[in-house]
Parts: sequence; structure tokens; C-alpha cells
Amino acid sequence: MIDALIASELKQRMRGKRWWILLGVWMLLLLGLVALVRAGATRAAEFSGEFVQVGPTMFGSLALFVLGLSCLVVPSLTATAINGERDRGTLAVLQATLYRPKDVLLAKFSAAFVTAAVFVLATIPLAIWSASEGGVSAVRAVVVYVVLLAMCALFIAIGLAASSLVRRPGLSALAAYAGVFLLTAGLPILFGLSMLSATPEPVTQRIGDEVITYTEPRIGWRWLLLAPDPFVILADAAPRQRSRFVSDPLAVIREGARASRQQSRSPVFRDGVGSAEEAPPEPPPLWPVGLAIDVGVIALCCYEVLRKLHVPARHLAPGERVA
Amino acid sequence: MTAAVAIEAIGLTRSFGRSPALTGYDVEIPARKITALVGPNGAGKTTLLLILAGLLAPDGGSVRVMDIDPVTDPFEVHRLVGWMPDFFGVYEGLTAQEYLELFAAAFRMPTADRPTRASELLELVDLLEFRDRPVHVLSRGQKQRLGFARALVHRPRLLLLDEPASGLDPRARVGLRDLIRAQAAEGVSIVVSSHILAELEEVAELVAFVDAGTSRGVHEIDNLPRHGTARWRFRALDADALQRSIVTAGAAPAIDPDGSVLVEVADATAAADLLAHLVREGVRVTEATPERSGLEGAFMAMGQEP
Repeated sequence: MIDALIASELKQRMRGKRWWILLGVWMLLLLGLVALVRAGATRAAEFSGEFVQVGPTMFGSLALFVLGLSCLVVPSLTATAINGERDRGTLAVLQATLYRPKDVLLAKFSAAFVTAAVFVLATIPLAIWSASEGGVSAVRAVVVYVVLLAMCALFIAIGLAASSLVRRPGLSALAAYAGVFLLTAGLPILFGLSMLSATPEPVTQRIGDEVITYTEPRIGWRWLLLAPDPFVILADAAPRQRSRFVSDPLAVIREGARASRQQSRSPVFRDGVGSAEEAPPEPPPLWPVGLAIDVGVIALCCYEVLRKLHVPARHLAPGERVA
Repeated sequence: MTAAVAIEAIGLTRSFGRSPALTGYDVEIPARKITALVGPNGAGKTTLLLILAGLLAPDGGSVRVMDIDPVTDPFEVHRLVGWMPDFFGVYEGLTAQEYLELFAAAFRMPTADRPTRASELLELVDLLEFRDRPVHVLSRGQKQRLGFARALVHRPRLLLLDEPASGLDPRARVGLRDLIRAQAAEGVSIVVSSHILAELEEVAELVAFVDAGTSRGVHEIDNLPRHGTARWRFRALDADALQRSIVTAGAAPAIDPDGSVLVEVADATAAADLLAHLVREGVRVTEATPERSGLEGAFMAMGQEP
């Protein structure tokens, strides 16, 4: 019975012209961006005179562009889903049926996810174009798309929570974008700010016969602020590129993010004396922790939506109506 | 098979923030009757219907709808109750047929039966011609009928209609009244609320008065204490001639600042007699409308003795 609700949500969406226009703009924009990156990377490669594959550059940029534009498009799919229906007077009659709150939540979530997936998966031809330039493994491509879809689910959940917790649609859209902005840009900023309070620590290193000592702020737990960032998860989860002759934007983010965890995890370099020859193994990834935190955020958002959809309604916010 | 009592409430209370909507509401409404829920705006009618529909939890008191507690068993109540709110929207992108099929699905009707049920209902409310048209082309009266069809989709045993006639033109009201009667004839219990009393007077068998969040009793319409009188408004081309003629008929005209005249009469028959008298006297009457019916008069009188 819930399939009928999902179908009706999708039907309403697809019959509107604006989603098709948005999809068209989305594709053109991404095509343009990838083409620009390709032109730039090709020129840079010719300039350096070395053999450089532009595929990873194109693919990495594509992945980041898709995620960045998803931050703009996907929250709008659900940011007024609940309170908008309340305002139009369609929610209460739906709640007066045998649909349980979880059915309404699942239908809204699924319909938004299908729509988001259409946007994300529509970029596959661009990914194939990038891969045709070489240097992009199938595993890498699949992992990137899986992470992109997972991040869409995160944005959808944030939108749903905003639309059920904030009464007015305009404000809930603002709240949804604020939530997405906090995760994507706010957390790295917070990380940077938190480093101001980090205590400097002496680090001793022996390079050959020379022993150098310097101080470095201790990162400690602060890497946890970077872990849930969708861009960090995307870059960090993508398998490492084998070829050295590439410039891959995902790898840049990955190295940077993992560096934040290396220091906090290598006490050898802190108190004792390490040597440059004993280069530390690659730092552990952040993405499993980050993904777990984001799954927790999704679960919390869904819990809040269910709480607000409970029938019979007990607590209503001031000015809130059942019907 | 069905309970003799459709609705039973004892000491229902509910407030929104600091404003109380129901303050100890007691009522017993029998099954298989059309009951008018009547009270002024803000009396608590909508709140009561929301509680009865299993959508709003009362703060206190107990309530049973078709012998089921809507607080602990809301979905069982949804299965038996068809609720039509005073304000509702429709999904803009869907056709009338799709809209009803969606709600058929919402009540777990098998997929194969949904189109038939939807068409059946569209025919019942005379919207078959709009079957494949998007619902947003419907007029207010047509949307109201679609909403009524939606409330019937699962063949409920109790219909809760919140101000179904508000904003409808007289012809649409007659159509709605006929639809309500047809449902009652099939044994459906019906509670219909309104602050416009005259329109319920002829369709309802019982009237449950509500005022300031409490019940003012349930009465059989035919046995209502008729100490209330009806009030009619008359207007004529010559206001002075109108007043003189009303006085000669033995009634007391009250002059409204806008030039029309208000007259207290016993009932509709007396009003018709008065109009006939005016016409005989050669008064060129341009308007004769009921301002307040005997039912409302009875209610007003009741409100004065708390």
C-alpha cells in the first residue's frame, strides 16, 4: 500500500515542469564543468611535458561537483515535505487513513531518494567519459557513486527533519540548508577554529644523524570534526589511486583529512624519537567513523519525523494545527 | 452488530498552549442517526472532531468512538471513521481518479478494486466528468464533494463532517445535504458540525450543542424547546412602506442602519405569511432572508442559562 503513496509523490513531482528544467540545467552545468576541467588538465599536462592521465582529474572533479550541487538540489526535495503538506491541508487526511507514521516517512524518503538518484545517476555518462581518458578503476567509480547516493540520503533526512520540526516552510528550507552547510563547510571551519585551542607539543625527529625538535599543535580528538563531512567521506572512501602521474582532487582531500588522524595516532613521533626512515604506515581512514556518525544523524532525523507524525498528536507547537 | 452508541465522551479536556478548547466535554451520541454538532466559532467543534477522528489526543477525560478508544487504538478508529476536515487540500498534480485511488490504497484496498471504487465514488458525488482532469481545476464546491468522496472511500460506519457546507453556494449545499441523507439511509452514523444552523435543521435528527468547550446537551430536533424565534430580514424599494406594512401585520420591525428591516417571527410559516401580506399590500419586496432560525434561537436561549 505504501507503493501507492510513493508513486503518487513521484507522479506529482514528474508532472511539474520545474524538475525537468532543473535536471536539464544540472546536466548542462556538470557537462560544462567537466569539459573545462578536461581542457585545463590537458593543457597542464602538455605544459609539463610528462605523460599525465587526465581521467582521474576529470572524475575526481566530477564527483566533487556532483556532491556540491547535490548540497543545493537535494535538501529542496524534502525541506518542506511535512510542513508544506500541513499548510496545504493534505497531511491530516493522509494521517486519518491506515498509513502509519513510518509509512509516510518511508514514502517521502523513498520518493525523494529516487529523485536524487536520478540526478546523481544521470551523470554516469560524464563518469564514463572521464574513465575513457584512463586511470579510473571501476571499483573507484562504484565506491564514489555509492557514497554520493549515501550523502543524498543524509541531505534528504536533514530536509525531512527540518520540515517536521520547523512549522513554516520558508524557515524549514533555511534550516535544512543550514544543516547541510554545517556538515559540509561548517565542520572544517570548526576544525580549524578548534585547532587554535590545541596545545602545542614538542616533536623530536631524527633524520640521519641530525635530531630536530619542533612543536606542533596536538590534534587529538579534533579529527572527529572532519570525519562526518560529506566531502571528506567521499574523498576518503575512494580507493587510493595507483598511478603517480595524476593530479586528483579527491586524493588531495584524502591526504589532508588522513593527516589529521595520523598525528593523533602516532605517539611514537610525539614522546619518543622516531626516524624518517621508519615512515609511518598510511594513517587509518576517517570515513568509517564519519559514515557511522552520518548514519546516526539520519536515524536521529527519522526519529524526530516519526515523533512529529505520531497520531493522535499530543504536543503541538504554538500555532501548529493538526488540520 | 454495530454499537448503539456511536460516540461517548466523558470529561474531555484539551487546550492549545494557554487557550482551552474543550473544558470537560461529556456527550453520548447514538449510532445510525444524523447528529448536528452546533456551536459558535471557537466553541471546540473542530477540536472535538479531531479527537474523535483519532488524530488529536485529549489532555484528559475518556472517549470511545464506535466502542474503540481513539487514543490507544487510533488506526482501528481510522478504519471505521470517515473524517472530512473544515479545511483540506488536494494533491495538485493528481487527477480526481488517482486521488481517490491513493486513498483506497491507504485503506489497504486490493489494487484491482481501487479503480472501480474510485469511479463509483466519483459517480456518487457527480464528478465522473472530472475523472481524468487534474484536481486543481475543480471549483470549491467540487473539491468539497471530492473530499466527501474521499471520506467515504473505505465505507466508514461513522462520518465526521467538519463544516462541510462552509463556503458553498445554496445549490451545492442542497447537493451535499442529499449526499449526507443517502449515507444515513445506508445506516452510517453521521456527525456534522456547523455554526450556520439553518442548513442542518432540515437534515439532522439530533442536535448536540457545544459552547465554550462544554456540551449543552443532545436534543431531538423535533422536540427542541421552541422558545426561540426565527429572525428574518426584509428589504423593499420603499423602506417606509415596508415598515408600515409590517406594523399593520402585527409584527414589530427593527430597523437596520442599512435600510433593511429585521422581524422576529415564530417560524418559517409565519415568515411566509408575512411576506404574502407585504405583497398583498403592494410593498415591492426585494429581499426576504432568514437571519436566524428557530434552532439557533433555541440555542441562543440555551446559552443564556448555563
